[in-house]
Amino acid sequence: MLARGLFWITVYVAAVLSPLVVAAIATAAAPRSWMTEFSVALGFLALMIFGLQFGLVARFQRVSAPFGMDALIQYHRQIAIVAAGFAVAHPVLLFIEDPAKLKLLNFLEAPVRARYAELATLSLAAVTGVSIFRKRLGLSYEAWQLLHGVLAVALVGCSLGHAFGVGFYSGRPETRALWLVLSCGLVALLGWVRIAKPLLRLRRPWRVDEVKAERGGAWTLTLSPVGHAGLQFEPGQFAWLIAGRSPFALTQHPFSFSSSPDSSGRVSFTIKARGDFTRSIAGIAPGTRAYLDGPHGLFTLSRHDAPGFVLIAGGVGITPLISMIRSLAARRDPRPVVLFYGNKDWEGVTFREELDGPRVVHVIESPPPGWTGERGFITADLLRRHLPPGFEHFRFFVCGPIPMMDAMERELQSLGVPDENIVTERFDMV
Amino acid sequence: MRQAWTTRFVIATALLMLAAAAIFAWLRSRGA
Repeated sequence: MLARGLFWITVYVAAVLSPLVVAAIATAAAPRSWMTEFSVALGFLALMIFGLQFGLVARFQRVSAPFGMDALIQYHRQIAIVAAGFAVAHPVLLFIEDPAKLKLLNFLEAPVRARYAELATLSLAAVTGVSIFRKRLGLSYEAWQLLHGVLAVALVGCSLGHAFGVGFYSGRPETRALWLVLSCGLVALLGWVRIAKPLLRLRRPWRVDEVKAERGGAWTLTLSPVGHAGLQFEPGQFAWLIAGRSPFALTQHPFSFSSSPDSSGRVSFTIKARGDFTRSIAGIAPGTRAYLDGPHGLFTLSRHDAPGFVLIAGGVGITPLISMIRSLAARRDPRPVVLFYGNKDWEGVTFREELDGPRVVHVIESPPPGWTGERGFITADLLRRHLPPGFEHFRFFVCGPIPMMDAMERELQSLGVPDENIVTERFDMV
Repeated sequence: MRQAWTTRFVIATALLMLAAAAIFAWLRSRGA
């Protein structure tokens, strides 16, 4: 896994640096100032980073396996800020060196290559703005997904137009070949994600068998494969779900499986009504056609084998963990499993009836009168009271809201649990 | 935990790219 991780990192870095290497080797153009060349290099780097962004989130299982999809998404977000800095510095350095270039900013009179650059900058500003201010702009996750995709294609397309338009480093056959290969690669990637993958999904449809209301405003959606064998997932993994729409739909949603993989090809997702899509789950009729992209994720028991497991859930974060509990029970696994399950109130505890027994510690923020169990939040003291001896060697799976996972990592560290025994997966998109 | 490592990796790649850009500019400005 380490070798595969290093392989993909090398491929990525080599791809980002490739325009610089080829331009340095294969150009016969007259030398320009350091500042101009540095600025051009930053422009190329920004273009390559933005181009490769599509690959990072294209859900290639081979690429995500060594790192985890959540780490790739985090890298995608953070490196975008770096690339935006490079992209802004690129013209600013040129203007500082030669203020006469400022007249290129006049869109109406500027040459085509400069117009492409201005459109790329506007796309960059827009793509950054809608991601940072999504909530303040009142944009739904679905509308954001659509806008983000369209603006990102515009950004990279206009940047390529600008680079070809300037042509300083795309005039020679070697450099021209590199840029053509990179452009074709990008078009192929978009074609794979938007056309080939949905076509493959179309051949593996699913049917919604049941939509069941659960405690806590959650719904369990059970699907069965139509005309194929279904998929093999591991408890803790997730898939992107499209229900009642075409597999070409631009917006999709990742959800954890809540069923045990040992059960007959059918899969269940338990989803809490929160956003536009999740609120619509209740209205999905049995018989509706659905499509899945998965399984994905490294939040699994098999990847983190241990003499025992401690599962810590906050609210609907129980979903991947109940899949683990069901699977371990179905396999009659003898290893100890302790579940700590935090909820606001007792009535809203999803799967409450199923989660009963000495190994389940419910922690209720606002308990009902007469409550004798744990109350408040899950803390190191509370964990210590219930953990069996030798717990430091167990694996701790934590799933819940981001602030809760941050707090749990601190509390577990204070208990002496080594970092490598704490497993989390975070999907804090925008 | 992995989040902190990912952030470090982002910073490392950003610094590597900046260094590559500076070396590229130096080579090119010398007429290499």
